Amino acid sequence: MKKRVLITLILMTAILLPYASAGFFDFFNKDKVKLSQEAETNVSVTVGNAVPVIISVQQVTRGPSVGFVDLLAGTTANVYFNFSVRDDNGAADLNDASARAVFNKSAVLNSATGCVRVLEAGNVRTYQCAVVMNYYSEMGIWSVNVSIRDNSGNSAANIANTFSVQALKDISIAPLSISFPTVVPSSVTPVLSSANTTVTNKGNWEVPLNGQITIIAYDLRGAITPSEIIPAANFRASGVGTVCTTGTVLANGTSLIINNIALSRGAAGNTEDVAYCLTSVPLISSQTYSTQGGGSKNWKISI
Amino acid sequence: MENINLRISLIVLAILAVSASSVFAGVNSPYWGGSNPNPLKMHPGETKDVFFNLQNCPDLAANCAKKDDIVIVSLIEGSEIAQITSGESYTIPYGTADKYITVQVSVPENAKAGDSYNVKFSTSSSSGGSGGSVQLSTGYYVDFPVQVIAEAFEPESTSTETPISEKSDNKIVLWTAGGVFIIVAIIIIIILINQLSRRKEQV
Repeated sequence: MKKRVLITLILMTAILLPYASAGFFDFFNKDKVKLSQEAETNVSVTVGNAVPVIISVQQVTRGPSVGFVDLLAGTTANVYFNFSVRDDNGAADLNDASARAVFNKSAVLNSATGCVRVLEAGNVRTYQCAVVMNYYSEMGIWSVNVSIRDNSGNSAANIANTFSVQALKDISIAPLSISFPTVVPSSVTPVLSSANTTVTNKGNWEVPLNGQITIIAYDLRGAITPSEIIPAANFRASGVGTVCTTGTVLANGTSLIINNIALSRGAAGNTEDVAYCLTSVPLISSQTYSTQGGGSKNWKISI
Repeated sequence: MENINLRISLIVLAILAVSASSVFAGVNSPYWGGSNPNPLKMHPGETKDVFFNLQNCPDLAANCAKKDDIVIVSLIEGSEIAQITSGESYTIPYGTADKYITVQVSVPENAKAGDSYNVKFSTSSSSGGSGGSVQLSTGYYVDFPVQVIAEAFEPESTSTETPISEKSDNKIVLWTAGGVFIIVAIIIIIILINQLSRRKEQV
């Protein structure tokens, strides 16, 4: 009886030993341990510094939906990104001051002035970075690079995110009205307007030369007799230069491209002048003719 | 003297408005045409709302009109696939940038990949100059292509790679189950052996 119990115990030990002590039978593995070369050895394990890992990057909406950015005409817009970082040494090992975000397009870099820690949960911290975008920032896809270091100098970075800057069309014009010197009926002597219109680009949309800066003109009507008109076709408009000869001949209620003008984007060089010329006057009565006469409308400059 | 009487006054005075300038409500567009286009890509039968931001002098600059602007929106091209669903008239308060035009674009079911459409609308400001013989205002044309693309292929079964942490969890479960099974088996064997020995003793 005792013999059987003993055999059972030996069997149990043999079966359970691999589970109770992992690697016990490795002792017999000749490839790893040579029985003939037994020696005492010190075993030490150094647990090193864990490198921080960026686990998520997310745009905070600045536009109708995530992934798009609305710029603000004539000024700057803050674009916010949140990113979360895990450090297995503990969140306190993260160097908050090193958190940063950089937006990049066509070698133009916009950097966050600073990132602020907004959340901490366990080994994870979340930072929010504000990057300033100018009204003239190039439209299209920008890439986002967020990074941070831990207190040992190990860094983590993520460059996988992008967003799209929208096309911003916004112009200012000055002055808001134009006038012409006094003229005589049936005159065929061209006269220039007393001032040009300065167009300033307050957005990021660029117009190439002879591109899409358009004007819709309307006939000028008499203040006393609105049925008498100076037709829109008697006017020309263009960039400054030989407007009276090469300017676009205007047409009543029709959108036409203004010749010899382009519009750039940027903080400087983003203004252009439009000149006007009254090329001839029909045989009409003496009165004031303007766009305020009955049936006329404001002229409209568009991009 | 007679000549003077015949003169036509085109208003020499440009009044104070001449020295003023103004920024009228601008518009942000997520898609655009032109030489470097950014088209809206859609599948046959798909419907999508596209939002266009309107703003009135958010920079509060000195040359702003400093008043609310009323913007009128008109669809010029693309009525076969697009409609302005947010209305034609928008009041944009001075200094704001939070109003949106919604354009709903619906690509026909029978459209084919490679087909393209063009959607174009205009915005016009109700504001303008005063005085002078010609008053001016501004407007914008928003113009973008819609490209029809093939439906994205969605396989019926997608491969889902198990994350590393889940793999190690599975291993632990297997080892534990194996261990429990063996212990139970040993207990059963011991019980059987005991019963057998008792029977033999009784015999």
